[in-house]
Amino acid sequence: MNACEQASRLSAYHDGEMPFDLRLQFERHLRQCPGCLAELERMRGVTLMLGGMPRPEMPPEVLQRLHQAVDFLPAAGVRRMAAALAAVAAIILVVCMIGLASQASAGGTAGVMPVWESAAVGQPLPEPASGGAEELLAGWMVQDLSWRDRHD
Amino acid sequence: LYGLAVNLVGNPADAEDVVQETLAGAFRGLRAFRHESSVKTWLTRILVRQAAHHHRRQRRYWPGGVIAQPAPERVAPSDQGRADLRMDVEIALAALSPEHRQVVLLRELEGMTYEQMAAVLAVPRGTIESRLFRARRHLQELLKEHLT
Repeated sequence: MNACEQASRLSAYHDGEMPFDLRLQFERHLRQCPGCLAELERMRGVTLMLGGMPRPEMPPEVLQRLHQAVDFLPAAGVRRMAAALAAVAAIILVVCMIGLASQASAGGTAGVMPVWESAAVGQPLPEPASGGAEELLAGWMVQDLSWRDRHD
Repeated sequence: LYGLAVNLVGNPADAEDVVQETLAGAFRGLRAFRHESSVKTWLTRILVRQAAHHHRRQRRYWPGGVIAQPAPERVAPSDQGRADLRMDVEIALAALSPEHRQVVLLRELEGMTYEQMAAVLAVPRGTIESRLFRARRHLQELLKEHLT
């Protein structure tokens, strides 16, 4: 293999990608460097071989499938967007249902008639052993209010 | 796009998938296309990325690696000789690393300039030049029987 340190510029020269002044300079080098000249010839040979390769043609059935796929693309985008919106709506619905359920359970507890209310509207309470009925009722009311304070 | 895809991934079936993914990607990214490059360069860039992505997914490339030994006596070019050469070139391309194959195909088959290739592969122009040089050296080595 050519060991010339200028050889790395061969590709740019071969492809016409070298500025004019550098090209002239490199051509002077080529006239003095048989290694680079030989490698340039091999490079041209490889380019000729690659240029002779047939271009793969797309079969008609492949083209038809691609056309169908391309036609399908906008609809696929709309479907993706619809799926995303449906997912968001489902999440919102679930969150709302959970919120309503928790509110209902909290309201259910509050809806239970306190003991003092039952006592107030229900049957006459039995006479307590120590203290009057008013005292017992006041105790239940305090107990009920303190329970509400803890849970509000 | 299809021809480049076949050469990049090595078989028509995978090439069809890559082209389809390229068109889908182009459709999705159409609004992001700012006309800083030509449509061809933009589509080729997507195709090369899709092919590389496909390669990573498949973890396989062409079944290349060994160049067929030429006949001991060189014969006049014939259909068989041309077919053998074509096969050897295909196998040699398959033996290149993906990065080297990309630059060779973009230059030799697509005729892109170094600037276009740099835009497609998102690497500096100097990287294109050095990759192409090394790829061509590798090809010379692989195809030396045909170059004498």
